[in-house]
Amino acid sequence: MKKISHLDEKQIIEAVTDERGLDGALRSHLLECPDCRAQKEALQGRLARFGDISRGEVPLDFRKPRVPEMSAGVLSPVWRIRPAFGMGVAFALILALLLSPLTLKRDRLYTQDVVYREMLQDEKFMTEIEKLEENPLPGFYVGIGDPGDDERDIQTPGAVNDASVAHDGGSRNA
Amino acid sequence: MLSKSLAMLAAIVLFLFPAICRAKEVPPGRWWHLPYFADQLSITDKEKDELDKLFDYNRNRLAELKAQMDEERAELLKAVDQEHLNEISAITKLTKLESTRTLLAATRFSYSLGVRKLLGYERYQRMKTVYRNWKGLQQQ
Repeated sequence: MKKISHLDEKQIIEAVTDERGLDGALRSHLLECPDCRAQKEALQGRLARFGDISRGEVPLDFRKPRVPEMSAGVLSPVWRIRPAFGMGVAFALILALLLSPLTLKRDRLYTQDVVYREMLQDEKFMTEIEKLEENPLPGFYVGIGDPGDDERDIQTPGAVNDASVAHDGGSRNA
Repeated sequence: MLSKSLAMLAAIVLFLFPAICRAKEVPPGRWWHLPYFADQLSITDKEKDELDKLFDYNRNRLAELKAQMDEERAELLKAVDQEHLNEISAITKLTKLESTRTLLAATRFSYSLGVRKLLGYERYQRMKTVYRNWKGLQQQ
């Protein structure tokens, strides 16, 4: 059986950077030989320490930005991406809850003051309706034939020549 | 034809007149929300809701009819004020106005009828007394 010697420095480096590039026999030796494995792990450790030191020395602006997996945005809720949207939704929900018939108290909606004011408005409105019902004709036509409204319309025969009566026969109130 | 329809309208108005007069028995606005009325007439929350609906519907309808009457009055006035008077057109417009007036009266009356139905005989009678007393209190 062919005896494999320990891995040289170049092969150790290759084992750290890309182990799959090593020959099969060398790979199995690396698995079995504690000396070679220790050499490989020592080199890996030195490289990791070097990486840590270099990361610490690099100015903040030149550091590679790191996106945390949690906030990658693909599956995270909308309100975590847009806080303003989340706040808007929350506000709308609170408003809807406050205005819903379940929470809205009738007594709070119709305070005595509001009811009194509406009663006055309604009374005025209903008076207008009553007037319309009593006489829907325009004002001018209402006056005609209703002497009770203005007693001055009742003229004595002698008063026909009065200047207040127009020559075309129309009333002075026209 | 026209005089026939006018006579019919007049008959309807005359028929409705006593009922129309009764419409004033009901207080204006949403009086059922005042404890003065609600307590004395034992009006429940459900009845308050129903009265609210009745009031909203009725006042909206009355406002619509009032606007319609204003429009028809203006049209009638325009027809009469024309130099060459078209008598048939003027009378048609008057008939239209009169029918809207009848509808207005009926709508106003239907509100009192609704209140009467909801309160029942006894409470409706009590409401009239309570309203009279309330008016007296307001004048003091």
